[in-house]
Amino acid sequence: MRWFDKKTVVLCVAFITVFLLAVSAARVQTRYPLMANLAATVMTPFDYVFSGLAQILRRSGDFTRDVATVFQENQALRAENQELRQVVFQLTEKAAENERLQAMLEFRGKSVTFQMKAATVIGRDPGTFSYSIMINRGTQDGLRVNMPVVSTQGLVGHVMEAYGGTAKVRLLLDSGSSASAMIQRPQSRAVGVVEGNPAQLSSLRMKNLTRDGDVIKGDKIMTSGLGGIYPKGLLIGEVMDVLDDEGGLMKHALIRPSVDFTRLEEVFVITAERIPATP
Amino acid sequence: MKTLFLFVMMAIAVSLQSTVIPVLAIGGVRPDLVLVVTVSAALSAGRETGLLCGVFGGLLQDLLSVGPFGYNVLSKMLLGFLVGLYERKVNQGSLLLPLVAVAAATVGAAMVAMLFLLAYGQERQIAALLLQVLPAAAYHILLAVPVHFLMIWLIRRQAKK
Repeated sequence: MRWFDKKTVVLCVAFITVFLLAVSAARVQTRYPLMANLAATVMTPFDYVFSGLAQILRRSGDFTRDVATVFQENQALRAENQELRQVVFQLTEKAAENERLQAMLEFRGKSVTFQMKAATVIGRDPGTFSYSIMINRGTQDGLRVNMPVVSTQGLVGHVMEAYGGTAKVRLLLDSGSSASAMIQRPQSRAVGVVEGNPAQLSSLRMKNLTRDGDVIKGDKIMTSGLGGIYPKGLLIGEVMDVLDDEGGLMKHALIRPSVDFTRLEEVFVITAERIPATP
Repeated sequence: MKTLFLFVMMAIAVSLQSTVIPVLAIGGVRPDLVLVVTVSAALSAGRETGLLCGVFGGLLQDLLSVGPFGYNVLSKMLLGFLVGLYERKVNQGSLLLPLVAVAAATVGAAMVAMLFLLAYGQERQIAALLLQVLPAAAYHILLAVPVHFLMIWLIRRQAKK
């Protein structure tokens, strides 16, 4: 009879209520913004405290790894230093050439840039199969939903929800996110859609490529500007492998993201469309 | 008072889940600290505590995550309650049942997750989820040892007040 006591009935009612809420959220693809806002506000102080602890742990791990590999790295760096001297010499030449070409171009006034807002990562997705980060900028800083987020390495994702002083950013790694993308190589310019790859965590997948599409290992992938969220020209990553889709006319590419999502600490939110640089 | 204590405890667990746990991920597998804490609390203090911990922790996770809404709160409230039924059968100094319970809860949570992924039309993720169950269970078992002893200490301390 233990199963039919009052508390069990309360559990059943609560379970059914949550189930119905979840089903309604699944049907209309909505969430509960007010409650999410409240939860984010409650959690922010905790996240600030523990993100400091996480940083210490991350740096301790890096330090230990660095010490273990310092000798090999030293040898490799010596060799690399020699190569870099050569590269610097060549680049100096290229820079001079570039300067001349720049001067020849009369489109200087039309060169473009982004308006960006720097933000610090204060938390990550508490779920086990979804990928997002919480940043310390929100609507008070001018952030809005769907603004693109980048790091110095490339595209990170987009703002999914913005609260007063914080915002939730859906990472490109998440299976729910997608970005229209293209191959950077001038001879190719093949277009596809990049999305998270649940089968191989920490990699991305570029789908909708035609079988005869010109995609090779090592190709750089950037945003195409289609789709309305991401502006054109943001680096996404590099092709690791190209695979045919089963029983179709399409193929897909596995992408190594240019951003190391496990080590994101600071990001930039693109708050405005491209604007001409001041002359 | 007890409810507030449990809420703060679960808020800390969720915050650790979103800040410290990603640093400790191995091969992309992130353990679910909130699940481990819920199971441990249920075994240490019974089904009501397990249920409340599951609701608080799961709801915060769902609201802060971009994953399917409802998966965490449903799975954790249910598992918290079911595991809590075994409270009186646990010799609190023994570790065997907590370890078995946390492994079983990992499988249970994965089954609920599968249902949610199907409901949300994200079948593509199911294979990846199944591949993660065993490593996650092993990781949860490792976490369960310190968490369980900490939980017994916390619950006893709270009971004295």
